[in-house]
Amino acid sequence: MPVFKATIRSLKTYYITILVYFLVFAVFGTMTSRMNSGSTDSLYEDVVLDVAVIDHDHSTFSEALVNYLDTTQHLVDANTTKPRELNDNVRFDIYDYALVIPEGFETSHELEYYTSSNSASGYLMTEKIQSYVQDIVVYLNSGYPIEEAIALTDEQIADVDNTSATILDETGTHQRSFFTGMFTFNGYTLLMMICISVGSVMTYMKEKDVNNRITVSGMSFVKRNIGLFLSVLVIGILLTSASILFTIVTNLGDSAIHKIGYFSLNTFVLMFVGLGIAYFISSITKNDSIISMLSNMIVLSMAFLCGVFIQTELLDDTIVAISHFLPLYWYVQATNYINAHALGEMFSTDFLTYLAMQLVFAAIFFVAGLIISRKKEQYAI
Amino acid sequence: MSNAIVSIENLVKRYGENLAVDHFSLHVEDGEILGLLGPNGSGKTTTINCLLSLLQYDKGDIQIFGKPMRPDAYDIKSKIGVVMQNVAVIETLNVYENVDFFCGLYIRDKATRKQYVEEALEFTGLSDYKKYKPKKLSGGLLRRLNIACGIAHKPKLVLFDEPTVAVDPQSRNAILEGIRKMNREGATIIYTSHYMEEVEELCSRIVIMDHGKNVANGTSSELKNSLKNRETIRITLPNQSDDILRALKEINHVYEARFENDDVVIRCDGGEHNLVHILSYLSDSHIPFGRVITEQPTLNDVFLEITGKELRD
Amino acid sequence: MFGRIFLYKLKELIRMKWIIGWNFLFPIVLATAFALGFGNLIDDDPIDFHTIPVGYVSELSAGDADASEPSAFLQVLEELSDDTDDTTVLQLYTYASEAEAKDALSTDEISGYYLEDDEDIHTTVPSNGITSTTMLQIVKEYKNYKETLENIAVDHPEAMADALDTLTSDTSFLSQHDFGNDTSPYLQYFYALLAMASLYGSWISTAMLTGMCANMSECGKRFECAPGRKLVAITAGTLAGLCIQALANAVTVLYIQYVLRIDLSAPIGYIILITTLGSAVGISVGNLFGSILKNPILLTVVPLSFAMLCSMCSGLMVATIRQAIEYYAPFFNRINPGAVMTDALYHIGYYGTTRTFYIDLMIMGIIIILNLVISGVLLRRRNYASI
Repeated sequence: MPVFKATIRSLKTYYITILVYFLVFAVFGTMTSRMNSGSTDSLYEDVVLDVAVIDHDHSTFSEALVNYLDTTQHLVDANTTKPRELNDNVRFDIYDYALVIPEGFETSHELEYYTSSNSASGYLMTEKIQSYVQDIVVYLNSGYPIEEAIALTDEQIADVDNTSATILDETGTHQRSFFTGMFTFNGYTLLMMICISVGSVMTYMKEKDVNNRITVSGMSFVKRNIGLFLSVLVIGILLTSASILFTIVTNLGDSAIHKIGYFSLNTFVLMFVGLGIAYFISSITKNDSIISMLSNMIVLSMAFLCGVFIQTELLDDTIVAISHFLPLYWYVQATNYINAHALGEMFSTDFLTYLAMQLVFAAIFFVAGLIISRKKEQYAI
Repeated sequence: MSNAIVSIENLVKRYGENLAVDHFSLHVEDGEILGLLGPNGSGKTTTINCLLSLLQYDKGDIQIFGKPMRPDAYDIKSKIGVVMQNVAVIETLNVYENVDFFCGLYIRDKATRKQYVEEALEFTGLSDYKKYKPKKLSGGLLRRLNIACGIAHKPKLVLFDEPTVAVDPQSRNAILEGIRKMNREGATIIYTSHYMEEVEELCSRIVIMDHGKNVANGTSSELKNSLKNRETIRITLPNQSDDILRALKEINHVYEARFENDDVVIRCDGGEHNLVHILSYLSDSHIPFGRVITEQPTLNDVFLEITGKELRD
Repeated sequence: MFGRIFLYKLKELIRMKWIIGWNFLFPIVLATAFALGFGNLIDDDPIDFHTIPVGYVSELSAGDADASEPSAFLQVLEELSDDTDDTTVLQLYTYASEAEAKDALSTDEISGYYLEDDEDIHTTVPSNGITSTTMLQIVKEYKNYKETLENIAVDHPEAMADALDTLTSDTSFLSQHDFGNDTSPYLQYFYALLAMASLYGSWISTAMLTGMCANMSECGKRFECAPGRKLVAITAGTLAGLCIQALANAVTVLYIQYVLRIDLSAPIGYIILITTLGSAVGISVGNLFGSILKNPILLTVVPLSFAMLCSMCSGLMVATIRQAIEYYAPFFNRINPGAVMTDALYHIGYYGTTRTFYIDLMIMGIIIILNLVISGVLLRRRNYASI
């Protein structure tokens, strides 16, 4: 018990660090999850775009165009009229498309647009607008009055819009739930919290003098290691539970709340990966600053390569292949799996493989740490 | 007064409710080695920090070299050397670089500095360790480096704040000898320590501080003379009785007599030939006695008598 | 005095292993992770338009039209698959039967197929997505043209020829605003990384100040006992810190540009100018922290957390965050040194030396001056209430 208590107490030193990462999780996790939830796994599914329109013309024609976009797309506030800011908003996905209707449009029929360079959705949007404007212009040129031209165009576009395609595979419509976003992001923050706090706490136990003092205390080897192990486990469980609880409490109405058990299971498995990495790092160094640095290097790089910040589909195939050798990949895969499957079909070989792979990596890190500690002791480094 | 290198008048320093230095006054004459003694928490280090203008104080007046000491009194600072209680060296610089860096804060001329640094290393016996990083030095060497950094610029006034903590006897001897040498060469020294024998051996004058006050001041023998107990006599007595104690107490200058195990312990408050008087009483009364030991008071006794025996922080 | 302190501080700091690790190694490791992760996206963004391979099956009854003459819709498809245009939309395969087209679809030879019969044009795709939407759009436009011409034929037959001309001409009513330079949005990650690395300069400063202030360390006490102006010494130390951080940044920039071969898309001189200014921001922020904080744990945790939070807000983990903040709370982007620096790099990379670019540089300058002035005032004092 004394080792257990001392370890838990020494955690107090790192509360600021833990607090910072928890804050990052709470703020940035929520932000990114909000941005990504509702969007789709496949990225391409949602074809109703966020379009910002700036109408300098305010003519019947321009208003008809705005009206058309309003009925077919999702109109958003451009928030600016400056070209560069419009462009940046489009490039960084604040909205997908910006259309500027210049003064004199009714006669010149010239429009200017902004879209992420060469993007497919942008191309499509341009085609739609082009076709709408073209219809009206053709009608006008053919002698129709403007009101009639607009009415005809609206009617036939609405008519044409009824055309639909036959889709062979309907299962590909996975909405990304908010929980999925939060738990994916937690792959980064939870690992960081565990690595830094547990890594640092463990070094004090490995500190030569402290260790000698405990060794001569007469407490048995088994007892003190059980104490250390239990305390580290408790720290891990506390941090993991806190992150899960936060996610639940702040999003009680989430569509995936019934899957929370599976998300939690996956997160607790990740906790062991964190503990393994922490042990590994603490076997390399005892310096707090270097522990923090190594944790950042390992976890942050891994988070980028394994799909925490950038979805796996966007990554290069080779990288995805390599990331199979990183534990966080399996965690993210498991999270996506939970997102995509119904409760009944959860316990499959796939899902269990994802969990097992994480545990294997946890064990690898732990054993690597053990070997390094032993070697260091042998050569008294 | 004209010769006072350091003069502290009525210094008061509070930490909130806690009075760390309480109307403390101190004068250090040119060429003195002044020992500043006091239990932990008595205000020694606080006084030194105030003296160096590192700490703000609530009241009092501090003059060094006859001028008021202020944070920006650069001319005064340039003539002071400090050896801190804790080792204050830069971990990533080696021994030579450390001494050179700190010396360079005082001495601008390159050639002079080089000479001073070499001398300081020679002085502290670190010449063979120039390229060593502080981490690689033993406790004693590290303390010596700490000293070298403080004195390389040949200051007129040097403050040593417990410089020999955790130092082996050989190194300690070397350090003390070095301090004496510096003093002979003209430096005035203020030396604080817990080691009474060190202070007794080294210092020409001693000030004892307690609870922030100056509680005793004088040379080693002056302080000892100020004690009530001037001689302790211990005699082994096989037959012990209260009559003997009564009789002993009636001897001139004996103010206390009591049994401790097989011995009788007699304390005298001065006078000469106390032992002769006691022994003649014993033989005259045919009281058999064994081993006889007589002890003169030490500075340690003075210290404990003045500051009390209860434990400090 | 100044020169000596500068040189010694340079020596002292550069020998701190953790500074080498955090400030030199970490950005390089992270940049490598970025390059591995989405280096490919910089050259080839998956949201970019790709030509769609489509199938066409005709089930028109022979009597409806001349069999040898392709249907109007097929002509449109052929037009779209003509690769003389800037953008080739389609790559067309014709199949004799729907079964053949389905086979081709199952082997991913095509992304979908059209089946034209007498009544309608049917579009079949494997799943929902941009491909299906594009394919459908083609059908919609075709039907739209057809309807327009039919309407005109009824109401204004005399204008029929002109209308046909307009519809088939390549007149485009829309033009994309052209900024000349087309950099990948993924470069944003590298810009934010450089901002993060610059802010890491803040703990070089706190380490430097720790050795110079009596209330922070024993060395500080020794330092403050010495004669000589403290601010001069701190300036020398700050400059030493700046040199180290600027060097670290320059190494990272060169590493990204020449080793990872990721074009930062601006003249290297400009980039190094910005990262040097950014280093000064980091160093000056560290001075401010050092002048306020005393607790040794806070002296590393606060700069680290600050650097992390600022760089996250400037898009280190999720590239779009900076723009989202720009949209909802632009003021925050003006005062976040990480975002200002990222913005400067982004502007020079994408738009060149614009007004915003100079404003960013100016804001960085103001942040540096403010930090230095405040910390200077706080650090000037040389005696303390407690040490």
